[in-house]
Amino acid sequence: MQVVGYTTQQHVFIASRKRKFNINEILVIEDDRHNNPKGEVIETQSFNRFVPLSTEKNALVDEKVLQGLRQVGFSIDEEEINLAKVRLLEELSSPVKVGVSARLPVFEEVENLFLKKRPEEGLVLGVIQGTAEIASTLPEDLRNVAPLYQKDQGILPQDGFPFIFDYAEMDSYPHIGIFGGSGSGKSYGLRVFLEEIMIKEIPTIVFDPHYEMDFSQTASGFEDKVVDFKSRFVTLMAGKDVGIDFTELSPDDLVGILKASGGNISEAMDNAVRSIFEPQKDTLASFTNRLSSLIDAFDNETEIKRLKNSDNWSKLDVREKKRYEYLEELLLKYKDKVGHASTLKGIAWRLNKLQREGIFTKDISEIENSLQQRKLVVVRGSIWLLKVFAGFIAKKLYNKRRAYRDALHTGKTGETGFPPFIIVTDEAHNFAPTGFDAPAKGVFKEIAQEGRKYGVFLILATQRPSLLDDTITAQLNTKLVFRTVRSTDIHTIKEETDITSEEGARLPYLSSGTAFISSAILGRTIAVRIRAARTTSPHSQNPFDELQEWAGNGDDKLWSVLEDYLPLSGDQIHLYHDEIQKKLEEPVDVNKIFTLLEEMESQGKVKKEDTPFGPSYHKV
Amino acid sequence: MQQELQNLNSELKEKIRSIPKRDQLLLKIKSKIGKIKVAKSLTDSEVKKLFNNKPLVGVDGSIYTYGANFPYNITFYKALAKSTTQGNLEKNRIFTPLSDSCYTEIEQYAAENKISLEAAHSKLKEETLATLEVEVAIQAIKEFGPRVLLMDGGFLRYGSLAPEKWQELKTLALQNDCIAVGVIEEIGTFEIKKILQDELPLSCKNSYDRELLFGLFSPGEWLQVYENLVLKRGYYTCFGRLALNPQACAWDFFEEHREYAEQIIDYLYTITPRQSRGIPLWIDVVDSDVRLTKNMVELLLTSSLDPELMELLLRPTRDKRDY
Ligand SMILES: Nc1ncnc2c1ncn2[C@@H]1O[C@H](COP(=O)(O)OP(=O)(O)OP(=O)(O)O)[C@@H](O)[C@H]1O
Ligand SMILES: [Mg+2]
Repeated sequence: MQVVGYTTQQHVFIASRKRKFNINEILVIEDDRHNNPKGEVIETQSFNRFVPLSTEKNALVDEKVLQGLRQVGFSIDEEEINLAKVRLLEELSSPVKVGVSARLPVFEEVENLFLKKRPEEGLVLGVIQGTAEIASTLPEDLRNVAPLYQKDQGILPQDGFPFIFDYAEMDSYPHIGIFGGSGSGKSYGLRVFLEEIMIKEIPTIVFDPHYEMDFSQTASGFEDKVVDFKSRFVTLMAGKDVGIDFTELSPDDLVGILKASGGNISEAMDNAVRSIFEPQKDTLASFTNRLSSLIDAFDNETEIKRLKNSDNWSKLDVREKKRYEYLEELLLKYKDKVGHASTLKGIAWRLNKLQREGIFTKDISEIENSLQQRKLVVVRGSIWLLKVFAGFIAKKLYNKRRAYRDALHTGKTGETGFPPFIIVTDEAHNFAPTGFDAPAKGVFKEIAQEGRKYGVFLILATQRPSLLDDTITAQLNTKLVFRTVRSTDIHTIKEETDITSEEGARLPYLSSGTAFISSAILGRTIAVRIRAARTTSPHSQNPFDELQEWAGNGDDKLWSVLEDYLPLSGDQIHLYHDEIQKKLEEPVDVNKIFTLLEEMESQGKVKKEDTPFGPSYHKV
Repeated sequence: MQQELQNLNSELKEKIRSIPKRDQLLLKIKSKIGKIKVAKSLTDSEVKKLFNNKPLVGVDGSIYTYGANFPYNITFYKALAKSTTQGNLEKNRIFTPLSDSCYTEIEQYAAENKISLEAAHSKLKEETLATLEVEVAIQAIKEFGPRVLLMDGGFLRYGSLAPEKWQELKTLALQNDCIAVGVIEEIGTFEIKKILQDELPLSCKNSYDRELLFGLFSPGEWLQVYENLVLKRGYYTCFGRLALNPQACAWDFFEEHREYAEQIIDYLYTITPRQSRGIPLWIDVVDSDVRLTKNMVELLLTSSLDPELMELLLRPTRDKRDY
């Protein structure tokens, strides 16, 4: 390998006849004037320097010509030249000397470049691309710590230097972003991250809108070296296992969660909530009661007035009188501020929806306890519900941690201890969108900017970095960038990382599971193949395979039962319904039976006749 | 200027038009100069037999002058012999009037030949390149033992610019059974025209062979010059067309190798791409290896000369102009 062509202070070209270059590999350039600088291969090419020449107008060289030369010992096919564009890791004061040779480094020469920490001290995330050929120089403790996975081939050996993330450095350079298009490997990468986090027992809360973060199932290939994560994480359902204590809500919170539950709310509703709600005093019951009474009052305003002034008033019993007086009082107090019954009904509808989801029936003590035990807490729920929760939970936990730290600082005692922790979410652009408001946005922003001081960190994954709030994006000091095709997102990524234009150009073509890791901790961008996950997602099955099994199973069984009953007419189906269910050993809808018979008719397995009493199905 | 060009155009047109038609000309050539042969592609075994396990070697040279007018320039020479089996032999030289030894050489040459320094310099350049090429060819015969030695260009040039070395090469080639061929892409002679002189219209009196031979041959056809006819003293020259390009080429052999000409031309035909200029691919391969480019020369200079020296002595004046 030799330096050829132009060189500058930043780049050189290296050519080789024999060796094909690998993208991202590090080469040592033997220019002693510059202390043998190192560079990274950022572009590779192979070409045959003789094939184009004879060809003036690009016609191919006739085979007889090549054969005529082969017979005297020259094979043009072997005249291939491999060329690599190499970016020097550090800028030099003058260009590299042309003609000097280059070679692969040995472990000691690149150790500092690649390995800030040993596996016990950091998160083992994957294998550094372009290090395969020098991996033979790896010391024992760095081998086989990051096996790889390939869809059709299963688990593959680690073929290079492990990438070990020095998470302690997050104290200086907090927060992590995981970007990439659909299917690029974000969720898989997040899983690997979370596995490592669990191994290190870092308290973490994960919002999981996709119901995919479960770590109890060992991935195939790891059966002989199972790491049991079951005791290190808990899964909680929003609204079932965790909820919001209504009495802890601020008016902003309440408005926020109402917004999230119903898409949006009008300004009138916003105002109405703020006037009716009595923070710290109101329980859910007292608030809903006031709300429904007020609606009642609005609906019956004239009626109440008429009644008050009529003779009938005196005939009412005390309880009824009291009730009317109360409604009148409410009207007096709120009418100006609320305006209209429909506004209140809008609020009531949204509140009701939240209530049905069970949001207010529980609190978050379970989350707090699990974090105290240094566990990973996965909170599941639909995306809208999680949006409501995330804001509330994040704020509460953050405040708790902050209060504790501040107390420590000022020497106050009595504040209960609360550990540092990480907040993780996929679809982060939904939680903190740019240009819109969202219940969690404020607190996410605050944590992005101030969290470091209190040991609270974010890991935010999103398909759409350009839609994520930009003050937050700017605070993500480490970014894992997977395959990205959309140009607006590539633009954002280029702006927010030190990814070079060459790397940017590769973004649309990265294979699933390969990422550029751009981190202030590393000071440069490293291409990494994320390691094989030790666990597998509960629904990593191909949905179409699943569909096959599902449709196949149910229908086949039902069909085998039904076959014995043919011919069947419509009213007979009702007649035999119970019997069929018994034979099937599970409940089945009458409609389902009809649907299946229709389906079988379309497949030609059943003949259908229309009779005055409805359809009748026969065997073919 | 336009008028002048238009006049030129009609003059040239007249000249070309006056060249006898293909059939007529062929007849004349057949009667006076030689036989039209058709080259054939050699089979693998024919090639093997011809070469007898020896390699093919191609020789070419390249020259690049960097800088401004005399004496503020530096010339790079490179001559290359490339074997199909053993790799490359290379000779390089740097020459600049700025260096005292080179300057003395120029002065001496000018005095001997009674010409100006500039003229001496440019003449020396030509000689130096030709000498280097012949030297590298000699070394290649010794080290590679080729069966065929392809020189890029005609023999007359080597004979006149490096006579002693050329004689040495000839002796060595004959001794070693190495068939040397000078491949001429642009025919610059008027030997054929001279012989046909009397039969050509008057307007052809200033034509070169090149114009006469243009489009004369079909692809693969070549002119086997009659035995008794000597076009260039000591050499045997044939003309022909080996590719689709209508321009004719020529090949020089040593007189002693006349008997091999047909076989060699068949082999050259074999290794000449149909779509090319009509030159064997091996010549192009050697050419691409030897060629000195502006970038290479600049890199060499900037990486070894001090920038101030470069600026002071060698910066081409044209580069300084800013239009
Ligand atoms: N590191 C990896 N090694 C091997 N295969 C991987 C890796 N990462 C991802 N894959 C493969 O790619 C598939 C898609 O990855 P993943 O589900 O993580 O995509 P995603 O970026 O989360 O997409 P979406 O945005 O649509 O959720 C995985 O099911 C897996 O087969
Ligand atoms: Mg995903």
